Amino acid sequence: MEWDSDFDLSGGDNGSIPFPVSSLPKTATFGFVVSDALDPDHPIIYVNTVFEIITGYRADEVIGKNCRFLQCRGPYAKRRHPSVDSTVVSKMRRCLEKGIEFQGELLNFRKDGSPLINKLRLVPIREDDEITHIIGVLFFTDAKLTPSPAKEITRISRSLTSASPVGVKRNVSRGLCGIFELSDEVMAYKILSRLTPRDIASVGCVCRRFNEMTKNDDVWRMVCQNTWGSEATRVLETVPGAKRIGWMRLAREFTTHEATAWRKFSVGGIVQPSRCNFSTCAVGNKIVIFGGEGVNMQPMNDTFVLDLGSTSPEWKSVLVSSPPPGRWGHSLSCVNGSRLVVFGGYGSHGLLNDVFLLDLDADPPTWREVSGLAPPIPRSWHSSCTLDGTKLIVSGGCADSGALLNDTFLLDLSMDIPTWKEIRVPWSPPSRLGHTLTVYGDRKILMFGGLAEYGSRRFRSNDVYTMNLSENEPCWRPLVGYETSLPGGVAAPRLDHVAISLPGGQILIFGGSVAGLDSASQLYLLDPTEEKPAWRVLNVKGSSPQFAWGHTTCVVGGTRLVVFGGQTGEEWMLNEAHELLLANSSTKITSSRHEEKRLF
Amino acid sequence: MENEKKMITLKSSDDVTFEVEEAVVLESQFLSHLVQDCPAPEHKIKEVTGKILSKVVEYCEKHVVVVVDGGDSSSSSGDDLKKWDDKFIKEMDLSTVYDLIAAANYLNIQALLDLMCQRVADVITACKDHKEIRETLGIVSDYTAEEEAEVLKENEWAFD
Repeated sequence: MEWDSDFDLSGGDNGSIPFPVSSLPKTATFGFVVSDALDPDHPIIYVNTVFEIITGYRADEVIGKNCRFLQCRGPYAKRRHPSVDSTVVSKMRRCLEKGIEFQGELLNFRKDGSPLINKLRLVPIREDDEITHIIGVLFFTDAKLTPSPAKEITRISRSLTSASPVGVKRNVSRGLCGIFELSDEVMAYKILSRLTPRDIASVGCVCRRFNEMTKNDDVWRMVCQNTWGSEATRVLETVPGAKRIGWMRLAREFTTHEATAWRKFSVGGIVQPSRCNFSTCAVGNKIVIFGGEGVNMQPMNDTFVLDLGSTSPEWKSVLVSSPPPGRWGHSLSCVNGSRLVVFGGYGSHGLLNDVFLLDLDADPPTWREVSGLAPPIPRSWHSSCTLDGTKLIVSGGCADSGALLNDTFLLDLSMDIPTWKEIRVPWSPPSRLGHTLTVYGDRKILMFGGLAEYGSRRFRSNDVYTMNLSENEPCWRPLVGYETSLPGGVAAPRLDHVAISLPGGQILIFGGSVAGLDSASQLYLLDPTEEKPAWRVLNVKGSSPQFAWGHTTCVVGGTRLVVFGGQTGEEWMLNEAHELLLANSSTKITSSRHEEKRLF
Repeated sequence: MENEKKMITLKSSDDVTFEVEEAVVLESQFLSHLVQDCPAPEHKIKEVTGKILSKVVEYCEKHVVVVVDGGDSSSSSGDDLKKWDDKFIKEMDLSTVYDLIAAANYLNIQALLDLMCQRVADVITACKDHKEIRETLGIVSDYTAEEEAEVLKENEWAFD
C-alpha cells in the first residue's frame, strides 16, 4: 500500500516534522500512528490509511484522541475490555513515562468490536532533549476471543480465585486479601475518585500502594469533578493555569483556602461615556461590560471588553451589530461557556423583560434577540444565574411602580424556541431586589440578602434560602430566615453584594451595601451542604478592596474574582481593580508545563 | 415483543448453573459479546464462583425487570430500585463486595460496579482517619515510622 503522498503532520503552520520522514518505508503494510507528546494526554495527530482500513476507524474520528480507545470494544465501550492484558498496558505506560522505546503485544478492537492482536512498537521522538512525538508502528493480526479466554485473563482469575482464603485467622487478613486483589485501575478510578480531597489525603497515609495511587493527577481530576460538580471543573479546565498547577494542588488549595490572596492591579483603556449601574460578566479570560446609566439617567447600550489574557489588558469598545436597547439595572450572565445573556433592566421607555444573547466569538461580535415565549413581567435589579450552562434563572427584582417581586423563572436557552417557565413554589421568601442567586452542587441554588419587604417595611436582609432544582417539585427552604441566625460571624444584611460558589459547595459572600458597621471587605464562607451550616470568616492576605458591588464584580476562569472600583467605592472607576486569587494557579498561567502522570 | 424468551445457562467456576433470560445476560457487556460471538446454550465463567455469580444474577434480574416493567420510567420505579440496591449492599460483608467488584469489572456490568465501589467509598468516608481506614479495611501499614511521619506531614493540610 502506498504511503500517503500528501503526508503532512504539521497541520500547515508548525514547521517541519521533527523526524526524518524520508527514513520511513515507502510501502507500509502496518498501521502507523503519531501522537503529540507535548500534550499530557498524547493525542493522535496522524494515522495512516492502513490504520484506517484495518481498524475501521477513520482518521477524523481518532485524531485528537489518545490511542487507548483501541483497547475498548467498539466506539461506545467506555472502558478497556477486561481481556486486555493490563500488565502490558502498565509496561507501556512505564516506558512512555521513562521516555524509552516500548515493544509488545496487546489485544485491540476494531470499530465493529472484532478483536485484533496488535504487535506494536512505540518510539519516542526527541527535539532538544524533550520528547515531542511518539511514533507507533502497529502490526495487526486477527484474534479470537475464546469463550473462556484462559490466557488473557490470568490476571483476573488470580484476583478472583486467590481472593478466597476466607475465614483465615482474623478478619483483618481477610480484608487485606480482598481490597488488595482489586486492580489499581478499579481502586483509583472507581473507588478513590468518589472520595473528597480530605479523604484522599487520609487514604494516602494508609500504606504505600494507596499512597502511590493518590499521587495520580487523573484521580484528582475525577475527585475534583465528583466533589465540585462537572460545571466547576469544566470552568477550571478552560483556564490554562488550572491544568498546569495540577488537580491535586488545586483540590488542596480550594479545600484549605491557603493560597487565597488579594492583589491590586490596573488596566488600560477607557469606558466612555462614564456610567454606573452597568453589568459585568466574564467569558473565558475576558470581562464584558454592557449598558449602564449615563448622565441624566440615560440608558446605554454599548459593549466593552477587557481581555485579561493579553499582556497589558485594556478596555476596548466593541462595535456590535444590532445591540439591545439601552438599559441599566439589568442582569448579564454567561451561558454555553462563550455567550452572554442579558435580561430586563430599565430602558428609555420603562422596564424591560427582553432577552439578548451576545456571541463574542462571532466576527464581528453580534447581539441577537431571543424571543423567549411567556416572559416574566418587566423588572430591574433582579437576580440571575445560569444552571447546567444553558438555563437562565431569574428571581425577584423591582417591577413597575416600585413593587418588589418574589417569583422565580427559568429560560432554557438550549431549546430551539426558548420558553420561560415559572418555577411554581408552595412558598416564596419575602419579595426583594439586589439579592444574589448562586448555583452550588450542580443543580442547587442559594439566595442571599438583598433589599427585602417584610410586611409594610423594607430593609436589607441576610436571609439565606436554598432550592434544589433536581427535585420534581422544587421549593424554597430557609437556611436562615428573617429573625433567625446562623452561628459564626453572621454576615450582616446587605444588597448588591458579591456571592460566588466555590468548588466544593461553599459560598463566598462579601461586599455590597452593608447594614451596620460590618466592613464590606470582610469575607464570609457558608457551606449550605453542612448538616448545621455556620458562617465562617475567611481572613486573606494582600490588600483588600474597601468596597465591592455585585454588578461590578465577576469570576474569571473559576479562580480569579475581579472587583472594579473597590478603592473608592465608585463603581465607574474601571481602571483599577482588585482581584481575589482563589488558587496559586491563577497567578501562574504562563508557568511551565505541568507533567501529568496518567494511568492507561 | 411477545416472542418466546430465549434462555441462557451460565455456569460458575465451581459448576453451579444459572438459567437466565437473554435480557439478563445483556446487562453484562462481556457476556453479551460472548453470547453473540459463540451462540452456545451454556457458558462457563471460570473466573466467577457460584456464590458471587448468584449475586450477579440476582442483581441483573432485578434491574432488567424494573427497566422492562417501568417502561415509562416513572420516578417511583427508580426509587424502588434504589431501595432494593441499598438493601442488596447493606447485608453484604466487605469481602463479598470486593469479589463482586472484581466480577462486575470482569463481566463489565457498569451499574453493579458503580454500586459496589460506592459502598467501599462510603466505608472509607465513614472512617475518621488513616488508622481507622487501616482497621476497617484490614490493611497492615508497610511504612517505616519515618516514612509514616513523612506522609502524614505531606497530607497535614487535610487534617484540621
